[in-house]
Amino acid sequence: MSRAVADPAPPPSAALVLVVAGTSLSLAQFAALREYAALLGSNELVALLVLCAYFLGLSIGYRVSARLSRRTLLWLGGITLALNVTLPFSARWFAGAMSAIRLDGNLPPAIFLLVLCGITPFYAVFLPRLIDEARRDEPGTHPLVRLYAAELAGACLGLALVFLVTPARMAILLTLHLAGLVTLLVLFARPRRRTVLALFALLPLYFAAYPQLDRASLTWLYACRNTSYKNVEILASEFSPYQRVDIVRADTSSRLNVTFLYLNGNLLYGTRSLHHHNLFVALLPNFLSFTNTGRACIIAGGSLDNARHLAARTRSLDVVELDEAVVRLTRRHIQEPLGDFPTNWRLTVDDGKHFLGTWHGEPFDVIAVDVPIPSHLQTAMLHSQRFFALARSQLSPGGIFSISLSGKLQELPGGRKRLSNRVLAGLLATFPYVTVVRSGEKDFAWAGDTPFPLSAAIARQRMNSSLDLNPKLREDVGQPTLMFLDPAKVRALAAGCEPIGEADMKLVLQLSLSKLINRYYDPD
Amino acid sequence: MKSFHHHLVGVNLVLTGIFLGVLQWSAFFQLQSNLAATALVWMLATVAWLLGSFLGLVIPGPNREVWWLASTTLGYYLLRWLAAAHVYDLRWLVPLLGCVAIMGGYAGRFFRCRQAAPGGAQNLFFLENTGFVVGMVLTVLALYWLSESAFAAIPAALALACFATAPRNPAAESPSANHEPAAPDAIE
Repeated sequence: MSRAVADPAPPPSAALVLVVAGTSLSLAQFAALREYAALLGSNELVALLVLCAYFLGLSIGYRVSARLSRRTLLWLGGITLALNVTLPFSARWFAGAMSAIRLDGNLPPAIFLLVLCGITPFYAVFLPRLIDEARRDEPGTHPLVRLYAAELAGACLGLALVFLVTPARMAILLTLHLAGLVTLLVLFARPRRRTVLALFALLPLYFAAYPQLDRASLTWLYACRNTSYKNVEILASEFSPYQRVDIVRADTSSRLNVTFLYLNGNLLYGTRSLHHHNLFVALLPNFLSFTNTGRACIIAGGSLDNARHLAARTRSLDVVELDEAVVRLTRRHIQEPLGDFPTNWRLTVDDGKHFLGTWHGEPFDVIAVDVPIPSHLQTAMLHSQRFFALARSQLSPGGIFSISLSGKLQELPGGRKRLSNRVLAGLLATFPYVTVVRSGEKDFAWAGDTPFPLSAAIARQRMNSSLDLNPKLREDVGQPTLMFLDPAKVRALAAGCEPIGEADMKLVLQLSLSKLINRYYDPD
Repeated sequence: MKSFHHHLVGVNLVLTGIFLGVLQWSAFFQLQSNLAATALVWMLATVAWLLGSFLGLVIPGPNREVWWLASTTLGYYLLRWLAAAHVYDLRWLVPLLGCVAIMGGYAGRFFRCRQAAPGGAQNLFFLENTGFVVGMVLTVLALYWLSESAFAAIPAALALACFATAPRNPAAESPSANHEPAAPDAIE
């Protein structure tokens, strides 16, 4: 293996160029993974698509770095700047337009091409080009170490900026990204023409216009994607370290002033179906079994409906939510406008697995997992047998673990690989008693070390009594049905099904792909 | 022979990119599964990797590439073992981040060792980066088809492949022996 040859210091501006390029690349990667993944309705497959486009864009830049003239590269930089000054708004307007004319299928390849060609290639040109030029100027030297170190330092600086500025201030981060782009053009242009320096004037204009353009483009996007929405209003939109959190108010055909919560473009609160989900996963296990005396833990209860309806009916309530921004925005824009929002509950901002894994307090009487279907690895882990065992270890005697089966159980043999059946298999492998509750086309599981104490008839009666006492809740859920599946049938439905493992990427990718196809390529 | 050598170096560049892509994604996956899924853990792991790369790149002296490659591979297996042995225990965050930094070390040392690779910096970064993308995709596909247990063997196999294809003839690495593309206008 070779020994490195000592290299002289390269011209200082080469290192400056690479620090700026590295910083801009870090900022661009963060913004791309947040904005464009959200535009597609983020899941693991979408995140992989955006990341692949980002890194392949680097490869394109590396490949053409020595083949293009300075003039051509300057044009490339100018085109990249012209494109990025319109982002992310133009991407949202495009996405909305595609939805409006029912050509949504164009969006995934369009986003891929946008990131591949419009975000990274220009930045990638500099590193190999400067290294090879320095070697030609000083034969026998190897300036790669210093120059690549400069770019790595820039990448760290970019990460530091994301951390210090915080994702919530995306306008600042994107303006800094544009500043890096303009700086590169200024450093690159010889001589430094005033027209190039004048490009810095774009930065305050972009920053000033960002709030209005942000709201306008999101309003357009949601209005185009949801033809049943009228008078769309964006109450809040913020990037957290995890996702884009949007709170949207609109009139629907059946109700006025409905508030919806979208996380990375995925609807997670506001429809009757989602209120049903919340009722059966989090509320009913508490209403029916430990009235006013139980200790409850809700994992991923970010909408805080659980806090509203359970705080007064439990001895103590812990809500665990990974994303602080979700809780803050839903509290401000959904719960507090309704008035009488309780304060006697405790919020922990943490990963649900980590929370239960390190909990040393009193065991819980109810642990409810209020998550969507596992199209992300994180939510898949909350459906795994390992997590079920962890939850069981934190339950009190007679306690209930509650989770949605993500759909309706399917008869075998077709159901052997179905998500609902596999989740059930994991529950049956962990808990001695699992009650499957069916409401319409959805199944839920209430599991524990003892049989569920009520019959279906009494459970239905108490459910309706609870709903009658709570007009808001009744309005949200309507007239839900409730039945218990026969225990023998429940065991038969899970027979031969493999529980979800701790790292079931196959399941996650299948669900992600299915979601992508249904969203963009299903003619219905 | 020179052509074969150049092709072999090219294969090594791609394989190393694949190796580093698999390593990085597997490491983040381990932390997500066995420690915590918080943004802070992700950011600290990213910084640790970058720091390791930086140190591997700039630490002077003999290249000792084999040692760096071995350390990176061992760092991965140590992280895998520690993360599985201390599930959800944030007291092990610092040692785990140390493992990530060690893993990043070869990512930097590799570039130091390949400074004179045929085809210049353009070819070096293009092949390694493209290999990295392949490594990312392979990690996801391996998790899809083979499950996580396959990562008990895949990184070691890739490390061996990188070792087997790494250049061993210092004379072939001199700049005069390299073919470099013609340069258009310089930036400086």
